[in-house]
Amino acid sequence: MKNLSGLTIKKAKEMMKSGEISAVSLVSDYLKNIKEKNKDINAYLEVFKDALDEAEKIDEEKKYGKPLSGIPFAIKDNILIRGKICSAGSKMLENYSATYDASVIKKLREAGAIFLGRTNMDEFAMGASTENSAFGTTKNPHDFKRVAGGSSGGSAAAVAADMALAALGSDTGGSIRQPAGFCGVVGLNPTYGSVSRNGLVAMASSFDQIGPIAKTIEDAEIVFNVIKGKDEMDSTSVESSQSSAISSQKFKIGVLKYDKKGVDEDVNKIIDESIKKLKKLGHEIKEIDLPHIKYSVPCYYVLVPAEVSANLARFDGVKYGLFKEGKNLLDDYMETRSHGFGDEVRRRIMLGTYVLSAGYYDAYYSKAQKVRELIRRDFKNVFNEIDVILSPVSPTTAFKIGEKVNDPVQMYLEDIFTAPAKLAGVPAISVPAGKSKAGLPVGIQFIAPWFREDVLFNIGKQYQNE
Amino acid sequence: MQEKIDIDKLALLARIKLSEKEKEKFQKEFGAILDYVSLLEKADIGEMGDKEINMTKGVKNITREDESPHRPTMEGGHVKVKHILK
Repeated sequence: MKNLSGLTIKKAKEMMKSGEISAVSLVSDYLKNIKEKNKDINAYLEVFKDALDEAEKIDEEKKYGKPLSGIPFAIKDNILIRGKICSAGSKMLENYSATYDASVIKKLREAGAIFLGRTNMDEFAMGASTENSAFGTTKNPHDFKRVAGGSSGGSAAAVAADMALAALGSDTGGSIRQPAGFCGVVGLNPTYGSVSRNGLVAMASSFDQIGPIAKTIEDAEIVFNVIKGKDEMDSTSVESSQSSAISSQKFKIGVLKYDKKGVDEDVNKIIDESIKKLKKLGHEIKEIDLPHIKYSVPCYYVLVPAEVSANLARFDGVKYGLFKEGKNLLDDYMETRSHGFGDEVRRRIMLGTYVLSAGYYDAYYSKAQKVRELIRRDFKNVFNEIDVILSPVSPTTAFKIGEKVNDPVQMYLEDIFTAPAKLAGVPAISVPAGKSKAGLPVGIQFIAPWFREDVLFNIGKQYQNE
Repeated sequence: MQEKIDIDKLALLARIKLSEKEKEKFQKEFGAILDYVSLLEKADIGEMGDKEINMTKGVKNITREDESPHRPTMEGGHVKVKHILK
């Protein structure tokens, strides 16, 4: 097939059904693209040799009727696929082979999806640029000197460069939406609990969510409908319960008030243009203020390191993963963790250990928990007045490789517009909205009330189709 | 809010070995990060008690079927570790 860039899940399925293409030809075209482009972009850490076999099976049995029959996927390297390495971008798990399928992988398999390979990411999903990967940085397909964003940078770059038709990422503070914005594709962070986390390498368990990265809103919706739902293996997962259907196609949209001085001119301009476009579509626009979200990033960088320090305590060289021998048992742990973890992971483990330690717990962790509750209430209150929020995805477009890597606080500020939704647990989507003067993609973000992904898809499609 | 961090104690608690150069680097970075997160001091949480925090309630641990460990130092079905008691 000549033009993969115009292809969507829906189109690919129609073409397979009509016999215009086969699953094998589709997968081969993507593999060819990967072969050509991956050496420059480094989106994939591994391309699976059995992808074509899986496609053959689908063609032989002519099983084109499932929701994702023959659709080639890229999978972030922190989601377990049985028998495949799952490194989480870390030396710690460089040789770890997954012993079971994550629940989302099971669901994608049952829906007919084909896994092309595993994609690069910041180590243990900690970062906003993939520069924290132990296996090299993923380059932005629009400019190889710039980052693809992170932590799901490999998945976003793979979709943007037609090295996969769709992908899975994970979002803890913006790790799906920000790289999607930087690469010019769609990224959905679902409501906390709507997609099972079973088989996702844990980072911060009260934040982590798996979600789709795709070229269109419609494709993201198709993937979300396959992976969502309660899973008995994840006790925080729930059945998505929408209280009501969408009654009107015209929404009350709250435009988030923010300090324009702290945001790139290109991003501000796209927001202004988007407001005009949405008004033209007949939506009601209103400026809103969420009084506590100015505390989002500080709050996030207390709670997340705390959860990280607990979750990553399991990597001690005893049961699986890297093992570096020391002088005694304590030294075994210390050597293993020093060799296995990169700087950002060690930074967050120590920071988390600090905020949870006696004497500091109340001032940091307990306070941050309460501020999180205030932020949640801000969202609850504002959603009594409006249907959906519009905001930037990131304060900048894709930045240069190396630009922020030595300044952790600057890197953390990348999350300024994406962290609030995570603290509240509400769903949010990043939608391509235009380009900067330098030709880099700019995204906008819609945020909806809990379990109202349907609102995000609806407004997103209206926006994208205009 | 914060005093100077005892980096040696913190690294030991976190079970992470650091070189002298790394200690210096992390110490400096932690200073900057904690300065930044201390913005939280300004947030007015009023009289909010611990019970008012919205948290997932009533969840229990769910485990999959156990697998043998993958440690390189296996002996038979056992994981070999260094002795703890002297």
